[in-house]
Amino acid sequence: MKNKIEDFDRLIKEVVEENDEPKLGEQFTVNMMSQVYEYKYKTRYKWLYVLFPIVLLTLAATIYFAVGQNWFFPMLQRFEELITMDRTMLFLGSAVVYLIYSRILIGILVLKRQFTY
Amino acid sequence: MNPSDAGCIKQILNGETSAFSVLVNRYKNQSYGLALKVVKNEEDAEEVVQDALMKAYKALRKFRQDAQFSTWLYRIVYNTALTKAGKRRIQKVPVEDYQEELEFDGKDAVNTLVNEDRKHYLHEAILTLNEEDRTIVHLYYKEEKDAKEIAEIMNMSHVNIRVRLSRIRKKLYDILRLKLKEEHLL
Repeated sequence: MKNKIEDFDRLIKEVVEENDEPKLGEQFTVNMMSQVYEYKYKTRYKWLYVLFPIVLLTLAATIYFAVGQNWFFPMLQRFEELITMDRTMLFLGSAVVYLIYSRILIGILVLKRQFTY
Repeated sequence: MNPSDAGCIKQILNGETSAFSVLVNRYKNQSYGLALKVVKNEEDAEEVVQDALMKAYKALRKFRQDAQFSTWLYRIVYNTALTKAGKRRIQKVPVEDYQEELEFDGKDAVNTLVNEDRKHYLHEAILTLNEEDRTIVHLYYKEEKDAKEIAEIMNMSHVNIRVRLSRIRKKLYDILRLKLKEEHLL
């Protein structure tokens, strides 16, 4: 009886092994590793994500409070184009620049690793 | 030569992330096969494997090396697939129904047919099993996991897995016998 069960088990094993299932190609590994590196760099360079908006906000605040001060006028002339922009647009623009910056930063780091893994 | 799972994990934890690609290549297809048993859709199964591998990467530091990496990974894959399929966990079968041996009758249903037919009918019979049973078949016969490891992956007791395996064998055997009767071979 035990032999018969073993024979039957062997037969099931053969059938299961012979049954071709779809497989995941090399592209899957590439995509997977991109995700892994993206996660890794996002975790490692968290401070960059924090630092950049702080710099931007400081800059925007400086411009905001300096407008109207005497020392600011010479600078105002130089940055006339920037200052004539609507302030809301300036903040929105900063947000867009930040988003693009973070994507480019991570993109470069991931691409760099993707070709070396 | 490819490093062992433990070697890869050590490398990853030491900062060599590229070693994770060895584990991905080693287990992606097995994990995919397992996920397919639960979600029954190639796109969903691929997503499940991707999510599970990411979860495994993030939790690698928590992995205690007293179990096999594959068992740990398959458990993540299985749970992710269950969540994706929106299924509740498997109901456990009563242990008292446990029946170790098949009830072979005088004529042996397995040996009556020629090899190719046997395999064809058996494959059809396996397809009629529910997803939990097919998962067990996959893990036991293809991944060669024992009842204890399958129990760990599927969060059941190993006795329950043995009961289920016994029932699966019996069920497959009964389907084969029925097929033979239909074909007037028994």
